[in-house]
Amino acid sequence: MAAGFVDFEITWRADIFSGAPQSSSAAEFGTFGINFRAHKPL
Amino acid sequence: MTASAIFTQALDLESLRAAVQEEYKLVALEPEHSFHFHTGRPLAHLLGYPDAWLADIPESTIESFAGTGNPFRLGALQPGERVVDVGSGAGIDSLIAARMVGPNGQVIGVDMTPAMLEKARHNAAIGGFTNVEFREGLAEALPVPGGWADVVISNGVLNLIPDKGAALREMARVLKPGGRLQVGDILVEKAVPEDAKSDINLWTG
Repeated sequence: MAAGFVDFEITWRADIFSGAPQSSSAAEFGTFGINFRAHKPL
Repeated sequence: MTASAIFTQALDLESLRAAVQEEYKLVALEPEHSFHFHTGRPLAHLLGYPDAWLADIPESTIESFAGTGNPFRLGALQPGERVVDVGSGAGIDSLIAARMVGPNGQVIGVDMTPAMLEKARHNAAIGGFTNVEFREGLAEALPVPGGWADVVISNGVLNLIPDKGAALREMARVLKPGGRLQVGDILVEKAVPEDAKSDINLWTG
């Protein structure tokens, strides 16, 4: 269990910074948008 | 000493919070400004928000959207559920959640930026949302009773918080046993140099 949660799961990832109006440091560090979920144990 | 403690010692927390507030005050007040991230309705489409979800959300809230994922793609919210939106910004996810949980459900949005809170409250009022409220607070100290929520959502906020463990523990505190955490955020695949971790400009841009 980490930080009070179990069953961490990343379900989606995508490049969400490319084409942004201003240049970003995101690409330099391999940054992606993600969705993740977890549960608090019963 | 924990890794996060070392991390936060190298960083002036108050200066970081002030920089984040200044950046997101700009997103609230001047959403047409040029940012290093996408914003508004184009971003919502990029992240898979269908038009049906946005149909009755005030445009003034949509234009200040700055999320990095889609918490609702991680599981449907059910009528009657209680939801906490951590870092609720101008309120787009809180208002979508309010519609999903219906009149018997309740949503609390929490944000630390006054300009965002003011915008979210105004738009909830003009949109007729009666089952949502917005509270000022930090992710590391949520102004919500323990065990209150069925679901905690958050979108593009954890990456702005140095002590992510503290924020996650607080999210766990406000959840009921068995409660769900549904988060959109960012993942950094390459190692970030130590000097970069204490560079406030990189945290906000």
